[in-house]
Amino acid sequence: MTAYIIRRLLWMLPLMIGVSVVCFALLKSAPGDPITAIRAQGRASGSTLQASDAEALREQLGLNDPVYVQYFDWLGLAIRGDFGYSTRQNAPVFDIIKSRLPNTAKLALVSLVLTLAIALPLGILSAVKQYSRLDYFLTFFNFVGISIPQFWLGLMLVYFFAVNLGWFPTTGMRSADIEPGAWNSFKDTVQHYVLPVTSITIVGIAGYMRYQRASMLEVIHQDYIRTARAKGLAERVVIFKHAWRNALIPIITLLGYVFVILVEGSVVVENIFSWPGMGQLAVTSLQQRDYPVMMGIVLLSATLILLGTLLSDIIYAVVDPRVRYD
Amino acid sequence: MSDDRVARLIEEANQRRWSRRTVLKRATILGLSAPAISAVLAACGGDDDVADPTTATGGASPTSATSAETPVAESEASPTEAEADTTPTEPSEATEPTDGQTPTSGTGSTGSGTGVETVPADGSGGTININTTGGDSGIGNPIITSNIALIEFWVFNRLMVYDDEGTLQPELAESWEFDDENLVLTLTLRQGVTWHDGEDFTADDVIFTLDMIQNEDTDTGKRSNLQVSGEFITWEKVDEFTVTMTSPEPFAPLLFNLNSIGIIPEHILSSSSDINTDPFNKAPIGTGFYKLVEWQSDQFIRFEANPDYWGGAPNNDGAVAFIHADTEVGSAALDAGDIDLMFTPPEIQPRYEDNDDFVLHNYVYFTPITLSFNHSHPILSDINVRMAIAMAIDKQTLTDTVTKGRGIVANNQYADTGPLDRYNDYNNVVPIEFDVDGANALLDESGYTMGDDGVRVSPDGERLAFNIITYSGFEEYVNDQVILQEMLSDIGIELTPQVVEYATLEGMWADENDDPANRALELEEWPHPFEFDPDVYPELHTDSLPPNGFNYMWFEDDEVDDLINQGRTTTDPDERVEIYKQLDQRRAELLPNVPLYNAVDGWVVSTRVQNVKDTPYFRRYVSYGVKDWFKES
Repeated sequence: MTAYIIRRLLWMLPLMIGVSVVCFALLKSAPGDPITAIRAQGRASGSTLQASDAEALREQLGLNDPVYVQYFDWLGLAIRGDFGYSTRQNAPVFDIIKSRLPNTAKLALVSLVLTLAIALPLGILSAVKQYSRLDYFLTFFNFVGISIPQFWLGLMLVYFFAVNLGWFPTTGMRSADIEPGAWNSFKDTVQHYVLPVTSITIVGIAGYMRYQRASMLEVIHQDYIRTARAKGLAERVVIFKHAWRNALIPIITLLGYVFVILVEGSVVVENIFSWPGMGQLAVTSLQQRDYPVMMGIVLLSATLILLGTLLSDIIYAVVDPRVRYD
Repeated sequence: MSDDRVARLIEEANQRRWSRRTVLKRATILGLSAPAISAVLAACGGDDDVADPTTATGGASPTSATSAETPVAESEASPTEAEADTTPTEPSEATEPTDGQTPTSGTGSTGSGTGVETVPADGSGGTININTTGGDSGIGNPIITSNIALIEFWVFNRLMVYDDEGTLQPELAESWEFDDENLVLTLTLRQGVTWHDGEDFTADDVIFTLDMIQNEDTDTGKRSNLQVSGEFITWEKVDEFTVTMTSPEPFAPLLFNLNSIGIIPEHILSSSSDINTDPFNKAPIGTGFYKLVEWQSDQFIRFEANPDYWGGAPNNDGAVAFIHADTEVGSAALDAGDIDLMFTPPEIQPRYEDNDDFVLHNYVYFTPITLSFNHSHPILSDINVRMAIAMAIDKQTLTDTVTKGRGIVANNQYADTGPLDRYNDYNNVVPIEFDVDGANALLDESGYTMGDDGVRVSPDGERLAFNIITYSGFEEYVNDQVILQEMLSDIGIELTPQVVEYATLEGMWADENDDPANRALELEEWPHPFEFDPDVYPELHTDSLPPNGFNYMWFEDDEVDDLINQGRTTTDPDERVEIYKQLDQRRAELLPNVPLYNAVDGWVVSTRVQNVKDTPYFRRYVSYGVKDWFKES
């Protein structure tokens, strides 16, 4: 097992380099650069970045060097843990990501806990009462939940609950004008969380519930469940002690990816609600052609995906004694 | 509201026999109220006396019409020599209250339309909530490349600044004067101005700001603002409140260039090890009417009124700028009352028209959308072909279709009703009539015979088939291309629309060996002047042919070169107006391009906000007007 983990970790290095090459090439092949992004915006706002200034800035940023030179410059620093400076914000990429990461993680964590707390019981219920009216209803909800585009759901929530009813703020993580006091501050925070969390949760519930229902159904029809029932165990014990524990295995392995969700966040939801997290950062840096920040985000995501897969493989082995990596 | 613009509208309406609809549309763009519009329509009945602009401007000659505004509040010292004789005093209602006096009633109707104006005592006017959709660059230092424009106007001051009428107003420089040769500019700085931390503002701050921009290590896009023909101007501190700048050659747009440089504090930044990353950039200290008090990355920036502002304390407590991902998000926040105003592109505008809760302030983009010709193309270099194309375009239909009735037809060099409006020669530039038969006749006479496939052939046997290129991102431009394709097919000219990324197009512009067939016609905004200075040297002068500048349509004319040179080297505002009017005439003869229409953008302001001025150029007004606004509690 230890040898397996070490082997997997070592494999990550060439994989990461591969990912960085591909991403760097993709980013560079997109038309424009940070300076054209500034100029295009300037054209809209009437600012006066002139040709000679643009050229000087390109030179300053090293954008006139051949692409491979730019890549190796970046790689040389990245290997030493220096991901450079954002071309737009003039701040270290590390600091920028560090300031956005907690916001995304908080939103994702709240949504995830809520999603699991609702989806798992409903999934079990749906499986245990297969083909009942409740099952049909939940299955229908599933399909709706999976099919709804998240941006549409988000916008609808904003229009109904923020614009028309005025119950919640339309955007942001907190108000600019909170009355002093811990309670006010808490209330304000909760109000800001409601709509984004709801839009993530509704879509999330649909996915997890379907997963839970399927795995539960599979387990329920196993011989050992029939045996448990035959022994005369209470239905509650059969479902929760015998069936659910086994039905959780595929769900638990999914949790390995939680890292990725926590870090990447939901690009769509963060943009609709102007939530200052990683998803929004990714979109704006892409629009601004902020290469160092984009590369930082890509590398972080790649690392976490690789670690997440490894983690879920390990969890799998731990919870399911039949699985062995030798 | 500036009366001279109304007068000109009436005059033109009579001269050109405009339809009521055109008059109405222009009047709306000018931001006239309903009674005023009826008055204009009545005046357009044909009474020549009314059409004389002098009756409306109180003695201003039509040529200096739009510059008629005192650049300094009455109590202040004399304005620059250059401007002194062009400033017939206007009623105080049009004067920006630079001395902090409360605006008099009647400064255009406010959002509520009540005409109100009981201005609350300082510091009780509520908080103005606004949004910005450009993303959060985290940079509030006005000289650093991706700084946030709003901060530049609210927290900092420039030496001088153009107002919403295109007139230069003093800020940190109380007055300025060119010497007789137009080489040395002497600036007299305002005394008694303090930075937000209480330190005094002096000439050292100005010198430091200019030095930092010149410094090679500074990440700034303003270096060329201090250059004339690639050479730096020089600057010198004469005493604590006097600075001189010396230009290698006479250069009128220097004032425009200075208008876009926010002055930063020497006493804080002179000890900075790296100005590009200094913490100051996120906690800026300026001399402006707002102090920046809180900056939540990607969320909002909070400003508080500066009670010690040299121009008088704002009428409100402060402002919050929310950072939104796009205009849809902003629109929801506006509807919910979370913000009070936002910029609205045309597609968002309909939902705020005829809405009691909001006022839509429209303005034209400062330069027209144009169809420009590649003059290095063998066929398009023939003036008769260019003229025929211009005649075959039904501008009114095109404008109404693509802008859904919001745009106004353009016939001149600069945007009609925009900040450069005064440089257009409306008297002598006669709009080209839409005349398909005439266009066909002109092409026939010039030897372009109609081919069997309905496309004409030149005397050399070339088909009159051109590509028309534009950059992506504006659906409107794509629609323009298709409509023009249709219109020009009526005179036997075949167009092939092509859309490329802006960056790609930029690459083609810079390539001096680019085949003219690749960009025979362009649909965009060439030549694109600066927002407030009419100089078109970078785009129409032969010195600016690729790869040197942006004369990428290869237009060459000695007389135009001469006029551009004169315009750049003359600092007298009135003389400049005359020069650029001549340029407008010459342009109309040679057709480097065909101005098509003026695009209309706007700001939506909630009626909660009071004391919002009606102005034809809200785009600039919004950047400093916020100081005078207040909200009823």
